[in-house]
Amino acid sequence: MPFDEIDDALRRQPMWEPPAGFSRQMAAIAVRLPAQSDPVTAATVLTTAWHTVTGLVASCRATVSGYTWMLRQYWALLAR
Amino acid sequence: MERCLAGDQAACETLVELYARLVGTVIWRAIGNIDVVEDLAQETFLRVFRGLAYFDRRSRLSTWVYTIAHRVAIDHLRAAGRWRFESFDASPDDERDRVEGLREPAVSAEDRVIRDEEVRRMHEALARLPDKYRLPLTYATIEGLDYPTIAAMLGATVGGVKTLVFRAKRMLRDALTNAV
Repeated sequence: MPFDEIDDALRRQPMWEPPAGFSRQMAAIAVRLPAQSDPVTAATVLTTAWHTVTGLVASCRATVSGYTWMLRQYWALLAR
Repeated sequence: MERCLAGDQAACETLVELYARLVGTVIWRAIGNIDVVEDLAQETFLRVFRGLAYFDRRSRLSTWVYTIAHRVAIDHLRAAGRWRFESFDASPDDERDRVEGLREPAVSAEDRVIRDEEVRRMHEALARLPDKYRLPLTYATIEGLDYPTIAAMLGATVGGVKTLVFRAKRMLRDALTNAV
């Protein structure tokens, strides 16, 4: 079967026809849609928040670790 | 587009009127089931209106809209757990009936039977093609979709799409030849 005939047969498939009132209905929904936040901004806020939280956690761990070390040194001095 | 963004309902209606036919056709050809096309076309336009403010104006609006339609169709196929559609396989007669209305009237009964059979075999063979080849070929035969648009929809190059379409036609021809 030649390519042209394949092309013709496929092109004979019908197009979808929107039902009556489809455009009006969609437009009515469109003007009532709530404003959506910019996905880029939302992603940026989430990333920043995540970095803040992980930063705080790391900072707390470092502080606790430092104090633990100091207490151990102090305890060692007392033990002598 | 500006008026639509400003909340002008008539402008939004015009936008839908402009693209609805092709949006629905892209979805229909991609999923092969007309029953859900209206719902998915609605979903497409919801995504369009939600994202309109962030539309990159360097590309054509039509390309962006059809790309969303393509993604909605693919999302539907994924959600249904079938990346390959089955509807043409399941009911080729339904499709043949729809095609019937488009045929030119001056076709003899014998020619019509032959053509019906040809269309049925075509749809069966098309449905068996891997999606990688099926979708480019399917989209390339939709009136109003050009290769640059299809390439943007599929995230491929124009040359790549042309190659896929050529291979798809060859696979289809081989499948039809072998079936005889």
